[in-house]
Amino acid sequence: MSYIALATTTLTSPDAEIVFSNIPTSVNGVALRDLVLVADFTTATSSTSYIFFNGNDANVTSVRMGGTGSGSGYSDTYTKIFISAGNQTTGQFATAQVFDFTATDKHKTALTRNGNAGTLTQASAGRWASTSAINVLHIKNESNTAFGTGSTFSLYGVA
Amino acid sequence: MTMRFIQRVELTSNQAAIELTSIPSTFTDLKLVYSLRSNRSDAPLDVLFIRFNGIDSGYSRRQLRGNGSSSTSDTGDTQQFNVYGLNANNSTANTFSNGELYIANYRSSNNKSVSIDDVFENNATEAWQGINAGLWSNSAAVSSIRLTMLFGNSFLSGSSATLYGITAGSSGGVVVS
Repeated sequence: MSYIALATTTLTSPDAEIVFSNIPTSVNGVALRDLVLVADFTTATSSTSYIFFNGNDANVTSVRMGGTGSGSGYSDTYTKIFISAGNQTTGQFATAQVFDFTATDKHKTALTRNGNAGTLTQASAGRWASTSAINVLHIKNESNTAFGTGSTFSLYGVA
Repeated sequence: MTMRFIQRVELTSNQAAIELTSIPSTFTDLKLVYSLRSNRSDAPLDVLFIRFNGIDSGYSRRQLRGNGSSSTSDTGDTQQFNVYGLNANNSTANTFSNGELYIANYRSSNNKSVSIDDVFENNATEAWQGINAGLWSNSAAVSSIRLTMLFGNSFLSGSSATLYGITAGSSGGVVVS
């Protein structure tokens, strides 16, 4: 397994949606199998962030588990693929791995991890019920508030 | 290749700590993968300590862990990241814990966000898997990582830690907006 850097951005001004488009199925003759997104949020926003594909945020189911630092943790379901909880604060970090993104004979699944040492740690598994190959990856949050200046988003292909 | 090997420490004799030093400042993120066993002999579980740059302050983390029948969540130390997934020498023989530590933007002058996933394996009633969100509140680049433990005093022979560097960039014509 090898990682191939596809694109990266560091926000120089607030931005409410990050879009990675024109995602290829191969790079320099090497076929890509999965996508990995790494996000490092530098400033606070107040809303859950999620990823979706090809401009279509419907037909998604996910399960989530997390811990807030006390008690036994929580688990629930959702209709988006999380990459962060609400009440983000400086230092929130997220990864997402999307499997077999070029396949046209299966739904697309993703595993995500995210957390904020001051608030919670989470993991989720999601499925986009579409057999379309993914060529665009979007990052937004539910209230359409902007991600802060200095936040970084990097996309990798896994061969 | 975007993910490159940096260094590996594999013990051929027991050792009090494992340290990865002189980490180059040429990557974007770091990934540490470890396989460890402590010499603690009075219990199956030890606690792993992780420190950066030899500094014993500025750490915080939230953890969720489960053992197959229950789960619990807690917060961590301020002197290091303390992770509850370290096999001790009273656990199943020849069994080492596994873990992965990811540091995003380790060279940044911002505080460092850290993700730690770990498992303590044991062919008995006590075994755990955990996820952690951590923060090192320090503006310095991470130049070294030191692993020690709470209860035992050495990692056993066969324990290992491998460090990789990951570089963000662009290829394949992907557009980001």
